[in-house]
Amino acid sequence: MTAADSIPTEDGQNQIKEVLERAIADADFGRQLLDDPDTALEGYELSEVQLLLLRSLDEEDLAKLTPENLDAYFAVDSAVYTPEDSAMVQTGYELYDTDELD
Amino acid sequence: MVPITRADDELFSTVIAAARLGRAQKIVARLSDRYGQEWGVPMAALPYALSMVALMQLDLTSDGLDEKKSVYNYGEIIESLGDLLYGVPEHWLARYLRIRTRTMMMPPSHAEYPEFVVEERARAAKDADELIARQAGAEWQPWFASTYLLAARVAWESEERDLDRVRGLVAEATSRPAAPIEFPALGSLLREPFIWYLGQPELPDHEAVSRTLAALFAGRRPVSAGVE
Repeated sequence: MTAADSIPTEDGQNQIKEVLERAIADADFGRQLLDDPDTALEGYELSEVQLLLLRSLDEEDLAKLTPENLDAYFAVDSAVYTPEDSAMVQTGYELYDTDELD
Repeated sequence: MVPITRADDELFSTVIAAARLGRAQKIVARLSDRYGQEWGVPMAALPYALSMVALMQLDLTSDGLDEKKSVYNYGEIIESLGDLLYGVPEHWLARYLRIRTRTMMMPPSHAEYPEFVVEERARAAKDADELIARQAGAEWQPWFASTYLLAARVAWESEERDLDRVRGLVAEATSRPAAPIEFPALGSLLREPFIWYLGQPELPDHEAVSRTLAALFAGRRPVSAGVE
């Protein structure tokens, strides 16, 4: 399955987070995810990119994960421009004011 | 018109999460390889382009812009989206992202090349016109409203600063059905032109824009006091 042609389930976006939450709560599953990801991930519907991410994790990565920082990693809204970011974008574009470029 | 898909949204959010985990490079490298290997397959460019947009987004909203990296990302995004649109000109997200990149994400060092900047602005305006024309021939989707607001930004930041055109674009965006956009990750990008618009006190119809923003992105984090 490729990211381009995969059709994730309704819950697809949360499946990777579910895997990681389980890896935090269940040490045996976490170990299996590192040692034998194919078996550990049986039954999950994950895209190629999600599988790439999970297979790239190492012991140190898993040790760092907590339910709290997992929420932060997957909080899409924190990638939204804040008013400060918005101001930065606006300021950045004003660099190209054509009056100044003439 | 090729619509946004859940796979697009999922890929975008996964790359953002991967970047926060410090694991994005391997993913982006894989997607880059595939894009290179399947150069003749237009849709192969999308995962790579989306991953690069995600990285650039995260750079901007976290530690600030790394100039060298942003120049590279900018070029890669424009090139890969161009390849996709050459083969699939009706791809909504690709055209929207190309307008957005040229309008909002130009690396500051490009200011040293004013002709390039002016050309990129002109290309963004042309793309916006084309996307609006293509939307007119398709069934209305809630995210089409973002095109009008982004086009309003392009128009307002042009030399003409045509207020009537901006007013017309906003009227188009705010007079259509505004059901919630169900793409939480890409929704962050689709909200940007609304946020920009509401930060422009000299532009009209803030109330209508605020209402549409609230309807399209219900339940999302407010962006500033009085905006939502």
